[in-house]
Amino acid sequence: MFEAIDTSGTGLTAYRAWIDVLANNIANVNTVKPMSGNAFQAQFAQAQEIAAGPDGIGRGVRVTALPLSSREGIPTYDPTNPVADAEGYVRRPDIDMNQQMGDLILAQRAFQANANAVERSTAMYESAIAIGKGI
Amino acid sequence: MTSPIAPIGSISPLTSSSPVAGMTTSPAGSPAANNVMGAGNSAGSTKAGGLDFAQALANGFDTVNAAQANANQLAVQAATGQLVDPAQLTIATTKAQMLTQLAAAVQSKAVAAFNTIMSMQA
Amino acid sequence: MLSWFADGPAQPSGRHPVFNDVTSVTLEAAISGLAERQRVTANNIANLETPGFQARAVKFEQNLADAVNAHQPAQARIDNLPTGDLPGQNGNNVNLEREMVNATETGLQQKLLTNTITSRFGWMSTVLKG
Repeated sequence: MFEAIDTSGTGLTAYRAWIDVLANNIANVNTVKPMSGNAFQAQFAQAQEIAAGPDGIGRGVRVTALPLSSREGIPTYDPTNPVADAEGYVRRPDIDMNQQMGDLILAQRAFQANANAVERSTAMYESAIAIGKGI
Repeated sequence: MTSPIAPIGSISPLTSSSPVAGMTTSPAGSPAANNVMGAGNSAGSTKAGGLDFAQALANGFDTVNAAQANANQLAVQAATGQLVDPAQLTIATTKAQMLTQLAAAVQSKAVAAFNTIMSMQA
Repeated sequence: MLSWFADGPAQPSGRHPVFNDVTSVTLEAAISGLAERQRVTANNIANLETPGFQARAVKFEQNLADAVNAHQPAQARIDNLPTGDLPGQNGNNVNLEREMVNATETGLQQKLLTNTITSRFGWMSTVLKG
């Protein structure tokens, strides 16, 4: 019955998932792995609009996948590192910190916007519910 | 055709049609007018510049109708996005609401007064 | 007297004869338009960062004004159309500032119209109470 709130709820869920992914990437920007395995793989959030119902009105957004970035990472010469191989190389994660921070700001803004939208829609439904009150 | 208690003012039926049985209206200057009770209430006042009560009531209904019509018009303007100032609408609906309540209260007082008078008939 | 409690004489449109004056129908049509606008706005905001998403907007006021002039307010159409705004980098064209303003204004309009509806019901209620 309160579709506008449901729709905003899908936004809250999706942007929360994105924020978690970005926060994890940022926390691991310095996670070094040995050449023998995979680098720390940053995650991305893939999202898609939820198709409209019979009334033609869209029903929000959904995270459809959380793909991982490259396994090779960025091989870096760091011979003093404990996990360095015989040639002194380690795998650093392929993470662009600027991009991650920029995305984090977008994700937080989007989350907040959907939270505000929930409040606006709630006020609308409340005034509809109050029709005739006090007569 | 005098009755023991003369009519108060000149209460006419609300529909302004023929008088209800048992009640008469006293024309100005008739002997019954001298027995009228209540300060300032005399049959003469109906012709002396005061409003006929029934006329006032009828005017009141016209005012209510006009106020409701005005509020309706502003409501349609608001619904179609043409109203610039929302206060115009809220003021108009409040006026219409109060005038409706006033008219209803006046009418029920008039009916109560009529019933009081009827119960006083010998 | 018991017929007062029935649903009223059957009307082709199913509408009760007492409540289908132009103003009542227009107000209810506007409320429906505002409800759709709010849902479309919520969808735009949910898809704020969805790549390739095209924002939409609801228009009904002009349709309703025309329908009122044609004495057919119940026939007014609610349009749900793409905004046509220019997309940003990932093909998404949602304008967050505009959507937030829409959400706020829609809420205020809703409150104004619902209060008006309640007030008008009050006119009849006052008369009924005598």
